[in-house]
This record gives sequence, C-alpha cells and structure tokens, in this order.
Amino acid sequence: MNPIIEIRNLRKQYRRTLAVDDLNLDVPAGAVTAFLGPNGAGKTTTIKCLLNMLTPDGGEVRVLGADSRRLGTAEFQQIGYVSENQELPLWMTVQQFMDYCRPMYPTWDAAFAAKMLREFDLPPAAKLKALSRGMRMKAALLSSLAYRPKLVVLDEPFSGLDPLVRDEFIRGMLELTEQEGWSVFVSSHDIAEVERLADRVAIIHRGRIQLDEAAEALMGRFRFVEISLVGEAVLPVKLPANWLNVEASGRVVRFADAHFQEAELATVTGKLFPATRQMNVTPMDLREIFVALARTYRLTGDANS
Amino acid sequence: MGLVLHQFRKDARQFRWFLVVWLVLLGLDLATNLGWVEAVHFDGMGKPVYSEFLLGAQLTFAWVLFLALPAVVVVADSPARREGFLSTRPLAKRDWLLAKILFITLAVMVPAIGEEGVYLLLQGVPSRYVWWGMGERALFVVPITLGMAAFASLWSNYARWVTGMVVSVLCTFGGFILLTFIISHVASVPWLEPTRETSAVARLSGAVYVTLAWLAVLAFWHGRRPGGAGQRWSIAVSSVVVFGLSVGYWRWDLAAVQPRDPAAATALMNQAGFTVPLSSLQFSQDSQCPRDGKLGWCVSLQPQDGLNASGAAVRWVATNVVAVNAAQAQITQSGGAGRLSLFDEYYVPKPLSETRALASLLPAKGFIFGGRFDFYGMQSENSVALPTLKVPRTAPWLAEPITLRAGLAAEIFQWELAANLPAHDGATVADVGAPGRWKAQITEYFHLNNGGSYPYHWLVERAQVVLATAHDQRVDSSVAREANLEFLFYNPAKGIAIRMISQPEIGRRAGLTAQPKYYYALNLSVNSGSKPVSGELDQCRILVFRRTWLGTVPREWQSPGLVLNQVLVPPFETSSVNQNGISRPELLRRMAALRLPGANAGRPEVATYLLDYVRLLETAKPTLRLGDEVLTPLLPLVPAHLDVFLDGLPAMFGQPKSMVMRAITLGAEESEKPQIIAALAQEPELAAVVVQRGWLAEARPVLYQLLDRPGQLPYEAVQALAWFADPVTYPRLLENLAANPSDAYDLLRTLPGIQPQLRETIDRQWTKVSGLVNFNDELFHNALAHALYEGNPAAFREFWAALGEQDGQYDWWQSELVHQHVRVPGKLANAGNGIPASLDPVLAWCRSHAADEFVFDSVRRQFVLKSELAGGQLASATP
Repeated sequence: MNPIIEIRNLRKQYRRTLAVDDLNLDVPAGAVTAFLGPNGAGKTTTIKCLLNMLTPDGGEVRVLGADSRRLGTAEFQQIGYVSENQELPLWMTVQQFMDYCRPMYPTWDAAFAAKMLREFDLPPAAKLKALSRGMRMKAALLSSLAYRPKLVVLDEPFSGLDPLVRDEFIRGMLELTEQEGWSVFVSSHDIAEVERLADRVAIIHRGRIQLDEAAEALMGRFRFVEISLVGEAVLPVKLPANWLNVEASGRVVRFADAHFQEAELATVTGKLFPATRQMNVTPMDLREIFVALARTYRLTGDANS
Repeated sequence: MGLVLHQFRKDARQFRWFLVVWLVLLGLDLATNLGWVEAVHFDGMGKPVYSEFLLGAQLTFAWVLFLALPAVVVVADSPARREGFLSTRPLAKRDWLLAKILFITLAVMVPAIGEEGVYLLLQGVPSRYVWWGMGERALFVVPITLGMAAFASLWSNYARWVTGMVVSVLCTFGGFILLTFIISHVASVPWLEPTRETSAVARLSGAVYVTLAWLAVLAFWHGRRPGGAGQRWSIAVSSVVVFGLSVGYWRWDLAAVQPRDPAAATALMNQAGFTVPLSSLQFSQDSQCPRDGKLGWCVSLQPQDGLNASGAAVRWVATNVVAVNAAQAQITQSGGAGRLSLFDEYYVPKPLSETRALASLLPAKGFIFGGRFDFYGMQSENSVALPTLKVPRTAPWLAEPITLRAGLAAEIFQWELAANLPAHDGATVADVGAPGRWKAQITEYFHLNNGGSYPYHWLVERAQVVLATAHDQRVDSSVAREANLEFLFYNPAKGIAIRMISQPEIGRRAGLTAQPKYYYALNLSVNSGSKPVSGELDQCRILVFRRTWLGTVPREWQSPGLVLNQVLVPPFETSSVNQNGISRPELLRRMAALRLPGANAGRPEVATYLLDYVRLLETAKPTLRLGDEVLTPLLPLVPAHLDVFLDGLPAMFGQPKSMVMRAITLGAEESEKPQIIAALAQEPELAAVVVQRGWLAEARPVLYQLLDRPGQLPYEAVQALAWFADPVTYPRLLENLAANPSDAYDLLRTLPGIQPQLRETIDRQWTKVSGLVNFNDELFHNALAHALYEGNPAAFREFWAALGEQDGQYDWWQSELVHQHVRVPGKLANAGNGIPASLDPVLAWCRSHAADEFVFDSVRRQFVLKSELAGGQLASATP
C-alpha cells in the first residue's frame, strides 16, 4: 500500500534558522504514526508544509497522492486537521459550527457527528468562546472527524488538556481508528499519551528524521540494562555502539540497549564487566526510549542506532 | 455556487450588527441630506447653524464603517491566516473570493449607491442625473471598497491590519512630503495649474484606481505565493508609493478648467477692441533692495476695452513683458505667466467692469446700490501689473529710450442670472442655467437696538446638480463658488438692487453626491427709512448671478518710447497717513531746533538738513494747514542749492512735497528758470512752480513733452497745459480726465473748443460707473457730479432714484450733489451757516417729485422742475 504521506528532502528555513533540513519520511496508510521530537525540532513546520500552510523551500511532499502545494478541495475533504493553534470561529455556537462545516464535506455523516457530540458531551447552544480549551479541542476534533476523513493530522492535540480530557480524547481516537481504519499522523512531545495510540514512531531532531520505525519493533529492541558489580564500576573506554547513555554510579552500571539480544548482551557484559554480580534487563516504554535517544542526539548530534 | 452563498450567509451572520449600524447611519445620512433631520437654521443671534456635533459624529462613523466593513470581513478569514480555520478546509479560494465580493457588493456597495439613487429621486432630479449620480457614486465606492478588501487580505489578524493601515498612512504622508522636498529642490515642478486650484478629486480618483489595480495584482500574487511579513510590508509600502506618485505627479486633469465658448470670447474681443491709455501707465520700483545689485521695477496699466455685451466683463492678465531698445534688440525679459483670476478670494472687491456687467442684467434698467456695508465697494478698473523686470542699476539704457512689449490675456467672463428668487420663506425656483433649484429657506428680521444693522437675514439653500465627471472641481470648489456668485436684493418698486452681505458658503450637505446642497447666509442692511414695507417685501427678489469663464483671448501691447530714469518712481516704504502727528507748536519748535546749514555749506549738509526738514513735516498732523511760516528756513537755501531740492523731489510726497515745491516757487531766482523747466520732464508737479512764476511760455516745449509721458498727469501739469488752450493738448487732457475724474474738470470745461469732446468724455465716464451707485466712493461721486453738471439725463435718473437709500451716515455728499445740481426751493436750500449739512430737510421734497418732472437748465447748469421753468427754451434733452 502506498504511503498516505510521502516526504522527500523537505527543507524549510526561517531567516537564519533551518527548521527542517532534508527530511524524508513515509507515513503508512491505515496506521497511527507518532511524530515525536523536542520543542523546536520541526514538527509543526513539517505538518504545516504537508498541509500547504507553509511553502517549503525545497523538497517534495505528497499527501493522498497529491503535491502538497496543490492540495485542493478534493484532498481537504479527506483530511482532518486539529491543532492547538488552530483558529476556530469563536463567535459561533457548537451547533452553528457544525452547520458551517457540514456543506463543505459531501461525506459528512450527521448521525456520526451527533453521536460524537453526545460522547464528547458538547453543548450545542454554547458559543465556542465560552468553552474550555479541552472542549474546544473536542469541538475541533468533531468537526474534523464527522466526515470520516482518510487522513487525520493532529498537531499537539493534548497541549493544555487535563488528564481526564486527554484520556477521553485518546480513547475516542483509539476506538475510531480501530473502527474506521483511518490514517492518523499525530505530533506531540507528550510521549506517554502518544504511546497508547502509535503504531509507528518517527522522531525528528533539529529538522531531521532520526528514527522511523514501528512502535512495537522499537520497543522490542530497546531494553534498559542495570548491572550490579562486585567492586567499583569503571567504564571501559570502548563500549558497544548500541549501548546508549552509559553511566556508572558506585557499583552499578546503567545503560539503554538499542538493539537488545539476550545472548549477545550476556556475552558482551561478561567481557566488559567480568565482576558482574547481577544484571537486570527491563523493557522501556516509548517515553524512556525517546529520552535515551534524545540525550544521545544532544551529545552526538546524530543517530547512532 | 452553493458554498459561495454558504460563506456569504456566514459573513452576514457574523457581521450582522455592523450591517445594522451601517444601514442605520446610511438612513440617517439620507434623512439629513433631505433635510428631514438636522435642518440648517439660524441660532438666536442670527448665526446660521449648519452642522451639529451629532451630524458630524454620524458622518464620521458612517465613513469608518464604509472603510472598515470590507476590510473586517476579509480579515476574518484572511488567506494570510496560516492557522486560520479555512486554511485546511475544502473551500476553494475562488469560492472564498466570490463570497467576499458578494458580501461587499450587497452589504456595502449597493446600499451606498442606492442611497444616492434614493436621494436624487426624492429630490426630483431628472432621471438621467439619477443614473449618472449613482454611476459616479459607484465610481467612488467600488475602488475604495475593493481596495480596502485587497489590502486587508494581506494581514492575518485585526491588530496587524490596523498596524498596516497606520503605517501605510504615515508612509503616505511622510513619503509624500519627502518626495516633495527632494523634487522641489532638484527640479522645478509646477505644482499648481495656471488656475489656483487643481482637480483634486480627479487626481485622487485616478490615483485610487491605479493603486487598486496595483494592490489587486500584488494581493493576488500574495495569495498564490504567500510569503512572510516582508512580502506583506513590501506590498503595503509599494502601494503607498504608487498612490503618492499618482496623486502628486501624474497629470490626472480629467476635468481641467475649460472655457465655455472660446469662439464667442474671441468674437467679443474682436468687436470690442482694446487700448491702453498713456495716462494709465504707472511705473514703480521694488521697495525691497535686491541683494544682487539689480533694480527691480514693474509697470501697471489699465487696458480699456469696448465690451458692451450684456453681462460680459473682461479681466486682464499679463503673461510676460520684454524690453527692447531703439534698435529693437531685446534688453531684458520677464518670466512667469499670469494666472486665471477665476477664484478670487471672497473679500477681494470686484472691478467696476464686472459690477457694470451685473447691473446690465438687472430688470427694467435697475442699478446696484452700494451702501455703507458694501464691502465690495467700487473697485477701479482692472489694473494689470506686468511681471517685474530686473536690470543692473548701472545699465546705460536706463537713460535711453526703450519700448516695452507685453503679452496680455483678456479673460472674458459672462454673468448670467441663475435665480430670481422671491424673498420670502420657502420660496423655491429652478436654476435658470443649470439643473438645480434655489430656495429661500428662512427669512428672519432681527430688530436690533443699534439702529437697524443687518435687519434681514436669509438662509438660502442651493441644490445644484454637480457631476464629478462632468464638472471641473476647481470651478465648483467652495472658493470658486464664492467668487462666481453674487446675491442682490432687488426692489422692483424702486429699481434698486442692493448687494447682499453674504458670508462665504457657510455649509454644504450631501457630500459625494450628484446634487450637493450649499447654504448661504445673506444679510441685508437697509436704512430704516428705506426699509421695504410689508407688501413691498413680498414683491422683492433675491437675484442670484453666476459667472462663467467664457474664454481667454491673447493680445499684444507695445508701449510708446520711454526713458526709465524719467518715469520710475522711487519706492516708498509706506504711504500711510500719520493720524497721531505732532502739533503745530511742537513742529515749529523742532524745526527751529534743526541746525541750519551755513552760507558755505556743501551739498551733503544741505541734503541732510532738507531730509530732516521733510521728515519733520511728515510727523505733523495731516489736519494741520501749514502756511508759509514753515518755509522760512528753507527759502535762503533754494537759490544756492536748487539742485538738491530738485533731486529730492521724486522721493517726497504729500504735504512735505507741497511745502518744498512752495519753497522752490518762492525762493528760486529767475536765473534758475531753465533748470526748473528742464526738471519738468522728470517731475511734472514742478508745473505748479512754472504756473505761479509765470514761466509758461518758456516752459511750453517741455510741457508739451509731458503729453507723451506715460502715467497720470498731475493736476499742476494739467493746469499748466490748460493755460495754452491749445486743441492739440485736448485729447491727452481728456484722456487724463477720463482715467481719473477730478477737479481737473473745472480746468477743462471752460477751454474753448473742448466741447463736444468733453461731453463725450464725461458721458463715457458716467457709462463706466453707471449701474452701481456708491456715494462713498470718490470716483463715483466725481463722475456723477460731472455728469450732472453736463446735464446727463441717465445720471440724473439714477441719482434721483438712489437718494435717501444711504443709511444716514454718509449723506453729506448726496446733500452736496442735490444743492449743487438741483434747484431746491429756497427755504430748503440752506440749513444753517449756508452749508447744507443733512439731506433730511430736502429729502421729503425730493421724494415728492419724480425724476421725469425735472429738466436741465443749461444756463444755471442745474436740473429744475419743468413747472418752475418760466418760459424760455428748454435747456437740454428732457430727462
């Protein structure tokens, strides 16, 4: 199946700042892709470029098979976009808002919209400006999902939401993606929330893709290793490249293994730390993986694993 | 199309309150223009009130909404909003654009244009003007609204839009000023047209269209290839520059001043012809001393034309002048062109020729009465100043004969009756020559305690169809309208028209419309004795005259040969009369204190003494009648230093000059006769010396040379020339008299053989001033007195009709004329001391007799009642 989003050598510069630098990424259809990165990594810029809200300085972006710079009504009728910075017509009521959006989408499902309205507990007669931030995000999400888009793009959707709303939001997204088989491209620096959604993870750092992998595979190959030694821990000069953020504290050595293989790990640790008393290997969640990688990027400036 | 209407409905719902306010303000504006609300009225002090604060505020808000509404509806969904709701929604840009245009058209343009249509329809304007007016409103509304919308599309939110507007406006003014400064110092850019005002509306309209086109192209480009703030600001600033350049430097004279009928003007001038009397030439030096060592001087002259077409008048303008020597080689020339005098300031008196033209349009041979409050007075004939020439002070040709060649232009104006309006409340008449109407909206009579000043007030409303695309805004500007309109109060029972004291156009309603309304406040001051009675007032009329520019006819004029050193008069810093001079005892005391030069004193010492002496005389009260006693110190100096006295004469004037002249008369020796006679050419007033010393025969050659001297001959020279009683001198003497009716008439009327030319001159003189009676004016008084003395029946009729119309303060002259030229019953002839001091005793008698009851007695040279003429022949033509 063709990717629903194809990004090739994307480049975007703001004056002296190179926000996106030769970015390449394929977003598969029918999956939830988490687009992660620290603040200022280039996530929002990438999203705006693929939705033609910004004009790239170089490269090519294709969305739903169309050049992003030529996205027309046909494409936008299949794209749902929710962003923390999106300007909504705050003077409208919720119902007016729905009524305003409906004619633009031939596939608008009124029953579906009504169902989401109930589930999101949105008051139809309330003006958008009178709603809380979370409720507004729900309203925005409703307006972007009611017509069953093929692609849903979410840019920092959880920003400013309280945990309860976040939970509701994610549960709702999970249900819908499972039922509808939508493609979702969500960017966030809130990794814990995204982990529940993501089928795939792409990490961007300083405008470049550092990692693009299936979430399961990613979490499958990362392990957190803690080695207890008999004596004082002394780190060897040369360490395996797949060991990240190796640190020694007292008699304990800790690191993240980016390519975990049990047998090989045992062999290598046996050589490097003969005085190993005990070794604990625990899985890492997405957040821990991201932190480990982010630290590595900061130190090395590039991905080594 | 469905989404277009969907978006339009969204916009209408979003800005519904703006629309409500906008439509209410439009309705209020319409009601105001129709006079349903905020009608113009007088306040308690008789001052017209034509605008209230509320009216101004309403207009201001209406304008704000007119400009803001197209912009706010665009900014709400601006394509510059990167995070805008519609930026990721399936609404095609074309649909968005059509929806915005639909909203602006239906919500802003249509109501604005429709208001004009409704207003014109309710005003009863012919249908073609209704459509024309709506079309002109659209010409204004469409580019403004679309331009505002295009500009708004550059900005992502209201704050940035406001900032963009403010910066653009500041850049417009600042850039404009800067460009003006630079270009005015780099090249001479003729800012002003030959006329005083430029077609500002045409320029602005053209500039708006150019800027709109520029802005639309750039906004479209911005929408297609959206850039950052730099792109937007570049678009804004470039639009400002384009607008400024278009307004300032592109000649958008879409409706330049055009003469109404150049062929008719040329025909009139060809028929009338023109001359420039020698006596009318006046040469003067610049009063400022130029730093470049050059002498600046100019010539003024009074062209005389024979224009006698009804309502037509000529204004002369000088375009250039060239001085040539005897070999016809050019010596120097002036620069600059004359200006069309179409837009004189309101209080500049109109020349006599225009007043005469007005009077010729009055019904039934009426005339205009200039009362005490006639600020226009009676301007002398149009005096034209040729451009100033500058020559080196040591130029040899200053003492050689030269000729001046001047380019003149006769601007022909045509006065026509615009309205004959009954002088009572609510009276309405159609404009005679242009689509529109006049209405005497309010008539009020204020009974004031100070003797009846400004008793009558009228508020006159003029609803005039003025089409921006078919009229020159310069002609229809407030300044031009003031200068090109005259209001006269006409009493048909007396045949007298009185110039109304009108304030400049006090207000204008219904701006940007094909039929604006102008308001004029007219005040009429009448003598309580001559105030129209109630029934009479109903018959009175407010006559409105309108002046149009028929055309300009160029003419060339060449002067006779002249020598500049002989005709140039030194500049006087001031010729004002010292009203607070020193008394006689003080004058004599200071005079005695002057250090008298000794017997062997040199020229510098004598000149200094003479200067101090003259200065002292200038400080004396003008009412002092100084006798020969003040001459005592001067007399001994005259024989030895006559040259000092003669050289100083041109720099003196008034009483000091007379005293010095008297000193020369008494003190000059017989041997100095040739010197004095020779100085006559430069100083014609020395003729007084020649006359009093009996040197006329010897001075004859030089005196006769004065006949060819440009400029007015002084009384003394006329007196001397008249002594010869030579018909050769008569033409020039009569020309002199015609230019300035004065006491010289008494010198000339007894010359043998001077009739009938004298009578013709007097009659011509009277014709020039007839039509306007103004006893305050010396020119009129003298012309009338001469005409009455010659038995001119038309002059008598006019004089008789105007008697008593004056409001009391200046009736001395009327009284003098009555007693001199009318045979008054003996008991009324002298009211104390043998000098008639007041008109009142005889006025009743005068009014009891009509003018045609009198006949001219050529023996007594008075008008007498036919019934009193006992036998004998009738003197002259019956009045």
